[in-house]
Amino acid sequence: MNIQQTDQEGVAIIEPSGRIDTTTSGTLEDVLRRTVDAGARRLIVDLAAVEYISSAGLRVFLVVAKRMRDLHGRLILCGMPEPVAQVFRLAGFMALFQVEGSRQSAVARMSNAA
Amino acid sequence: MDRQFAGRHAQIATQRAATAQVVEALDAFCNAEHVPDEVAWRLRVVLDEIVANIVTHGRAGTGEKPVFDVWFRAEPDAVEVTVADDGPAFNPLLQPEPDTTLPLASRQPGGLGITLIKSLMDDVHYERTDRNILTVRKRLGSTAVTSNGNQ
Repeated sequence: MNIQQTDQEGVAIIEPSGRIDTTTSGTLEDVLRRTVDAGARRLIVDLAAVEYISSAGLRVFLVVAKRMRDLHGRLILCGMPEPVAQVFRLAGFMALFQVEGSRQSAVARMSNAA
Repeated sequence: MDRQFAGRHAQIATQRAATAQVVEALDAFCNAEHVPDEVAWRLRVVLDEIVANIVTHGRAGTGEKPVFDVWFRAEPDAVEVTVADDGPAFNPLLQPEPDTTLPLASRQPGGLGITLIKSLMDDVHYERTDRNILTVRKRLGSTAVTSNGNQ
């Protein structure tokens, strides 16, 4: 798994690519934890380059969602390809996250709420 | 025997190594059999869940790592994956599934793997001999989500 990290107008954008499963979820969790530890309170995870996600990856998103809520931060997910969206729907995760179609709309939504 | 033997995974050192190894074998199988992407990703997720379960529940308390075998089988209209492990009897199909309608504060990550296995496959079959044998099956060209009662 490759993970791109960008800062755009004060919004931390994390873009993992490849598979989010038992083998790779720890790496993603580390990056997200470090990003929040470093003070990010407006966080976008762009999933456009993700092939699929298993429950090991869902756990990572649950952890970061709870942490951002506790810190009164904001988390938006965007760019979900169909396999990722399908797993989120099956797990009932769509209701737990703010989800946008594109990174552009995610950034716009984040800015509007600032 | 028309199953393609995917290797014996004995004394796997870590969960990471175990899943990486079997998913790699599945990739090779899917490429060789031209399994459509829409089916292949489901199989990869499901195999990840099955192996994670085995590593978590197999030989609990003994400190030993479970030993398991994986078979793949391609038919004209379906793909089947069978995983047999030597851990204590454990039927994943009888485990309670999480309530996927709870709000964030009440959600726990456990159990979602079983939900995904049931939902992403057409058939899931558990059998106990001297090992746990779990067989999952996905028909080609039928990628509608299987209802598991939670949706």
